[in-house]
Amino acid sequence: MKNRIKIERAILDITQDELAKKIGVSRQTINSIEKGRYVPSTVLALKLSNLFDKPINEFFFLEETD
Amino acid sequence: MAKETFCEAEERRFEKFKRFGLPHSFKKIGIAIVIIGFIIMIVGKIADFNTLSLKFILKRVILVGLLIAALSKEKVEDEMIRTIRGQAFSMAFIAGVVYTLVQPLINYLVSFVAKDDKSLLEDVGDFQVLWFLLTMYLLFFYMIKKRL
Repeated sequence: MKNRIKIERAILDITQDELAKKIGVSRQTINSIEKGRYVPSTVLALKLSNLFDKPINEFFFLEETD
Repeated sequence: MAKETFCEAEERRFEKFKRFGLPHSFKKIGIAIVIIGFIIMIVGKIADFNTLSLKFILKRVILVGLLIAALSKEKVEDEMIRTIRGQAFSMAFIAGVVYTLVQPLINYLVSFVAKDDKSLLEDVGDFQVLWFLLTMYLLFFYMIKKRL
């Protein structure tokens, strides 16, 4: 799965740590999500959606291998 | 209405049980207990004061230390840490089963090759299995966490 979390975070002009605090996870979790190493839960994805004010499928994309 | 409240209460208790963990500071305490236990065991072996009762107590002290370290939470407990914890536990369990199956054969082969007259197929002891399980859990947890 690919994502645009880093881009959306840059649009909001916040650091990984700030984003992590806003949605209640660790900075390492945000880093792992941005690098595509960790796929967040539905709840976490919805929290990101609320924060970015965009639907989930505008920043999470399925790949062919998924 | 009362039945729904009872189910909700059960769900809440189960969630609390699932998320049980000792405070983060306990991790260092657990590791310290394990190290101290091992040092006393080694010193006892060298100085030859390892009685059966002391060995019995030290083994359990080491297991308690490992359990404390395993149950301690991370600085920030979030969903990713919970996922890693689950993966580490299942990998440690599989490793533990393989260890229990393979270790007696390895011991027998080594003593056979070394032409030890006492080479026997002996079962792995409870301390060895539990120590291995808990150590593997901690190793897998930190390996997976580092990779993510």
